Amino acid sequence: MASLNNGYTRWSGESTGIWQRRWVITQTGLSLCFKQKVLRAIIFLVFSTTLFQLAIILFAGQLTSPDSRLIVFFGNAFGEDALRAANGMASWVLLYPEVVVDGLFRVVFFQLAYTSTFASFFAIALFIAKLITHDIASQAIVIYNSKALTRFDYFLGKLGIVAIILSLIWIVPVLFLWVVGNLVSPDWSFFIHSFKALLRALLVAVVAIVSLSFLSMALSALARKTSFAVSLWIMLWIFSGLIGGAAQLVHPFGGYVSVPYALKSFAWAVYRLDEVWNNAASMLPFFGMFFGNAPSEFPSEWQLGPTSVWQPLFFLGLFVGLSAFILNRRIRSE
Amino acid sequence: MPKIIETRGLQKSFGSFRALVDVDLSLDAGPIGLLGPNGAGKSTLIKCLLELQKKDGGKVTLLGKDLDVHGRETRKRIGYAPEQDCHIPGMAGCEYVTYCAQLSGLPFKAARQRAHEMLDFVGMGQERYRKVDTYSTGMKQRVKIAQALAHDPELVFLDEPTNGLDPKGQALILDLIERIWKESGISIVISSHLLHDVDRICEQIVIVSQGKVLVQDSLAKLKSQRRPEAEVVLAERWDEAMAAFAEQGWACDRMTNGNIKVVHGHASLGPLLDVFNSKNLVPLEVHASPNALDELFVQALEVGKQTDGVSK
Repeated sequence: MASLNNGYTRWSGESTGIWQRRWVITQTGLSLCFKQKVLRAIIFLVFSTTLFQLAIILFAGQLTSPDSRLIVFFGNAFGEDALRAANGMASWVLLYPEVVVDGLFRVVFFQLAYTSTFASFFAIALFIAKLITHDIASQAIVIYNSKALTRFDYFLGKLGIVAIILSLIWIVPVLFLWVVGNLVSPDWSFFIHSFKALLRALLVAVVAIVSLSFLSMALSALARKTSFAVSLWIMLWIFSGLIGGAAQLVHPFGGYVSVPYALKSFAWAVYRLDEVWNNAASMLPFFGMFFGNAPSEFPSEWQLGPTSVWQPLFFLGLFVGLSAFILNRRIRSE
Repeated sequence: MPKIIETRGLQKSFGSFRALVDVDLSLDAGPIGLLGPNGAGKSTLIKCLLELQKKDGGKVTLLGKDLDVHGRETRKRIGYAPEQDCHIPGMAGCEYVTYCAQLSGLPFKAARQRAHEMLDFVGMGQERYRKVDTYSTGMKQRVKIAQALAHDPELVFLDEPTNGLDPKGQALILDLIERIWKESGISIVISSHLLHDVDRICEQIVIVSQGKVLVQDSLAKLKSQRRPEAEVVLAERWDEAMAAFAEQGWACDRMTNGNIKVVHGHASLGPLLDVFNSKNLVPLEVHASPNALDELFVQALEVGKQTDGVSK
């Protein structure tokens, strides 16, 4: 054992503020989470998907340029019919950019929301135990509460971890896709026509991040073992889906018991793909020739009108409220 | 001298069990011993002072600040080493202490430097680069003390710092704690159920039993106070001795073990020994009554045992 030769020294300096101390919790938590290769791989996969979607936007943008080499290549590769189709689409973009650009971004962002939901499920399963479970099990929560922090500061610090990881999955790809997708398009008006779609995407992303963050933290606070925390998270998705499916048979709102269903419904209600289709079919010439006539009856999700936003939002709000209650009970040293 | 800890009517209950009953304390800066048997309420008292547990009633002032108003900012000036393990899984010792210093408001560079200084101070060598999960009990205690000191607090609470250590480890930790006050002037509150832990370090003593403060005084005063009684062991001539004590007007009685208990009424044993000399009596042994600290501690232990018996 080492001898005790070193004397005590005093420290005099300026203390950091409360936001800096909260950020320390977030920063340390993030570095612990990102030590996992699988988590890094999931985020990489989300960005890979985003690159694929970027290619679609790039192609659509190239349609507005008559001498586009991409269009020429497309014609050479797929024949005259394909070239004519591409030119037809080019006329859509040129004549009705507000319909085509907005519709295109809405479809792309909607697809991204699906990818992000799926990626969030796996990502959270990987780091859920690192949020609060480990602190409760190792009693490290006592140390946090004995420092110059309140329970709320601890909560905000931990919330920062989930929110940042989920932002990398939900918000950053959306912003990347919007900025780069518009930068590679030859017409600057794309920025204006796609702005409303961006706002829709950000709304869906923020609601998903808030609800998933609170839920994952609440489940993390309920468990005392890593395996239990992960199991709770998986069970929440699987069993709430099963229960939601059964409950929907009793009442149409029953499905919202399932978190993924509530998220999915919210995305459907915000993106309004039925509206995209109807606008395209009514305004774009020969739209039906290319994509077929509008379905006589849209799938049930497509029926969600603007007011339908409130139903899933209400249930997601309930989940957040319940999670906040659990967190308030569990983030204690007693 | 300003009081570092002041409580008025501090109360805490767990259901019907009253863990703290109207605790009134007024303690000066310096090393303070919080003594009492297991379950007396020492840890609960510390936790209520640090707001780790919500008090049911009463008022707490630490370092001159009302805890209800300035709780978070006051804890910036306080360190705490809990009784149980409280490390963050996956962190090395130096990372853990740095992190704790940052949580207390030190910028990263200062926190890292302080962490190494404090790990040096507690005698941790290269093992600081190992994960805390792999440490022995003694090393964990040292790291806990290092994290409690890392932000250079004015007051440190150490809850049962020698728990689970062998005698050598206990001595090392007690040396270390003694140095904190002597070298830095940081006030320390040591909670322990072992009298000798606090006996050699502390200047003020608080004895707690069943959630109540039995006594709160300076160690010197408690040690100097004793009842003017003695127990005399004789091989023969008991009656003569008792008659001699009666002549002095001292109450005396034969105990069940045959010894004589005499209330001589003096601060020292001198007058009693004078009586033995004058009567040519030769006692085998003369035991002065224990000092107030020992007596009160034994009393606290007895109350604790009775409570345990009742609860069992």
